[in-house]
Amino acid sequence: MRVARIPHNEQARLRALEQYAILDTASETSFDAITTLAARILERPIAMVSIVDADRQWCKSCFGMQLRQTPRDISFCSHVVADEGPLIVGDAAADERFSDNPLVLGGPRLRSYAGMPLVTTDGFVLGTLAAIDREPRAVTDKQLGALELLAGQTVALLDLRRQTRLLAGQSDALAHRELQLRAILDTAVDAIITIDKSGLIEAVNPAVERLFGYSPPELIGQNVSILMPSPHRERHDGYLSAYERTGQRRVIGVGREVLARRKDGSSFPADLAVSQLELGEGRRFTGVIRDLSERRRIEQLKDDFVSTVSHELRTPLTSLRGSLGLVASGVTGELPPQARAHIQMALSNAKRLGRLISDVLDLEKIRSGRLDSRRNVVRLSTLIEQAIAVNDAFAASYQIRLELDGDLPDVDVVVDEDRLNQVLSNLIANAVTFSPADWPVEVSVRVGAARVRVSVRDYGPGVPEQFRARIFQRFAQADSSNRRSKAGTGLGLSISKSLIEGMNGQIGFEAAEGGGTRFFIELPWLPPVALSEASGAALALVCEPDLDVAHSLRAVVEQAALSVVHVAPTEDRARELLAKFAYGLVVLDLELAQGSASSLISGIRSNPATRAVPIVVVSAGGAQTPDMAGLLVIDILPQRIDVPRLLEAARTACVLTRTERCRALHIESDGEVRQTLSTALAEVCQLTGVEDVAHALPVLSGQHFDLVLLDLESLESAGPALLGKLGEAQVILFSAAASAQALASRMSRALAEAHNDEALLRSIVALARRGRA
Amino acid sequence: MKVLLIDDEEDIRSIGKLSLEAVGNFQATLAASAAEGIKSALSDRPDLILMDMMMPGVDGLAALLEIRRTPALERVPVVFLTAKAQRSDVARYLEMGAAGVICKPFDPMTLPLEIQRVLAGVAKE
Repeated sequence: MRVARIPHNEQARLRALEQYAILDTASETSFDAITTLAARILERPIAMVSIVDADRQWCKSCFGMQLRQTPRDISFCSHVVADEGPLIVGDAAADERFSDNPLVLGGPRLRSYAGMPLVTTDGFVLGTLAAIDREPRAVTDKQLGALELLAGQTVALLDLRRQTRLLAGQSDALAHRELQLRAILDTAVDAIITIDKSGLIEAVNPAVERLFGYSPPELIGQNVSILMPSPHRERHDGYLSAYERTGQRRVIGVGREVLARRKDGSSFPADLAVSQLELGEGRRFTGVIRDLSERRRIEQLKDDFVSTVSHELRTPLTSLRGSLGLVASGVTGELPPQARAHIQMALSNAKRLGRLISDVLDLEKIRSGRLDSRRNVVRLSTLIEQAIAVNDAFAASYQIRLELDGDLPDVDVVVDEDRLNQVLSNLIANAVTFSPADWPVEVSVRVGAARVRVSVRDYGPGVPEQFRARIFQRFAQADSSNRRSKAGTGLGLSISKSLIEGMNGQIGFEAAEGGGTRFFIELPWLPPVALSEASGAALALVCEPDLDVAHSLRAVVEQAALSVVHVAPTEDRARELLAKFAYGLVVLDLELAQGSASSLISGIRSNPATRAVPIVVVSAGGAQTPDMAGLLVIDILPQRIDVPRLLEAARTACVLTRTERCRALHIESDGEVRQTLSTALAEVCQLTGVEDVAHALPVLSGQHFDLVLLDLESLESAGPALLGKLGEAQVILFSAAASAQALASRMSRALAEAHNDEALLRSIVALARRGRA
Repeated sequence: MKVLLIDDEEDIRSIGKLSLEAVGNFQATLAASAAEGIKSALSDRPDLILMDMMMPGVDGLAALLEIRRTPALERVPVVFLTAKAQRSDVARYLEMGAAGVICKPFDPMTLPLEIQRVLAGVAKE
């Protein structure tokens, strides 16, 4: 007997076989059908699907004989596997390879064999499909062809079986993953809400019910705006459609603090993060909402604590310092020298404690954003002279001279005077403290293109290398054992940094050439306006708090051929300049002084001298490169019917548009209000009434109007479509906004939506020309 | 010149008195509450009232309103001596008719000088 050789790729073949997981499985009718068919077609009593394992052959199906497995050595199949081709044995007794095979000599007493290999797509032979007889038999080509086809079907069955198994495994894994994800969503502390692109809620997690009080069925299919308080509640659809139209993102991708509304109508502060999903059938948004109430409550407690403690500390400190001051000065009688020295020590420490309390309070106010600060336009040179004068005596006590290095330039800065003084004094005091006696501390000023730099330079030992990185941190002191550092609180520079950054400036330091350190602050500056002389040139006023934005606006206005442009970064400054100069144009940013823009407009309109000045309202949104849109605003009125003021505004529109009786469009849903105003204003304007923006748009396209009367809500909801059509028409805006601040921010948003600096430029150019005509 | 100092803390009254009399050349009268202070002012007619803001019972602001409503006292300048002197507070006090605000902790050596300054400002108006 010849034992079949082991194929060269046996290890790989066995691994492939393992993938099918077929060995020792129960019988299956589909395989049994194949062996039955093979026996019939080849007219043999026995047929089998036999798989060749490492040391055995195992039958998946066997027709006509009870055989489960045999050793590999004696199997006919192992020869098929070894030769990777069919094996035909007509008479085993006459074949030297099989004549003494135990399966031939005894047992089933096999005599003839026809086996076809089961070859996988990768080329591995897993076993055979064989037809067997106990008599010597020949096989026809037709029978062999059929056997080959059936072998192919057997492999296809094996493959199908394997894939079904793999898929079942994968779907188990998927189900497990889904369970995991669901568990994460279900147990999340944060509320998670998915909406479709029109704002309807598709899915919510259980935390939503806990936070908002709505059960999931109450929410699914509802507009997500029911979870928001006014005014977002009314406007959310507008936000979504604006995003759809412009692609401009407001919350998507960035976290934002918002107010959320519970089922019972109460609201709570929340952090909202929105992400956008593009899935099969369209755009969806997922919002994650975290309740901030508890955090806010704790912050409030902490603020109250700090403020109470500071106050409680100050009361006894007042007595302590006062008493020590009186005793030290000798008012209560002469002291022995040793006692005087100790009293002096106690007094200087009481003073230091006082500074420490003030600094801690300042830091706390900065941190909570409650530092009350009021910025004004101030001549920088005056502030520096003051700072030097105030600190002169302190410097002298260290035998230090304060010197001004170079001239003081004529520039204005927009700062909180007291706070800038605090910063300058802090820098000077630090420089003095670390200077060697009899050396100067030098203050100098250098004006750059956009920023002015004030430097304070000492000739001290310099800032130690390892301390540089954290010099602006709280309680940072280079060396706590340094006797001199004990004079400070370690908070001064940290406070100075916050204060300067609050004024749009920067603070820094560098090693000075020739030894010592130079600390500096940089602030945006503006050229001073000579208030004493009135200019004959065409004048424009730009009211804009951000000096970088003011610079761009100024360029736009200058382009429109107004030769002199003044900048007012604060409302006070604007009023001061308006009282002094006759302007041909006022450009007003709504961000000016936190909402005072509307009071400024009514101020301008109520003064006969400035009544007819064209005002372009813009929204720069504090951006470096402003997205600006202009609106020619005559007035902003809190009520829809204020006949005397409306008459006044309409007359102004006539003056501005050089018409006797101007053509006006009135957008108002209430027919009675339209009728009332039409009659009341008949003398100065011909009023066309429409009930909403949708009706207004075609009318605006077809006719020219000098004046448009509308409410803020219409402007907000209509966005760019309406703004684009208004062109050079003057606008009277009605707004019932509760506060000037709310009004400004809503108008800002409405204008920013339009996002059109072309239109702004056109309005300014048109006005400038008209002003000169 | 006569100064009336109203403060509920005895320490402050004692330091204030020493400061006003020994450092400045004022004649100091003391009161421990707003009610006591107004009574004293009516009989004593001070040239200036120096008053704490946070006092139990009638606080400084209420006392100021009361003083402004009292014909005999309406022209007496009132200066607040207070630890509650943030900028917004100071603006409010001045708006309500205070002549000036001096912060606590104050320096007894310069208190008389600060009072002179406030008075000079009032005189200019």
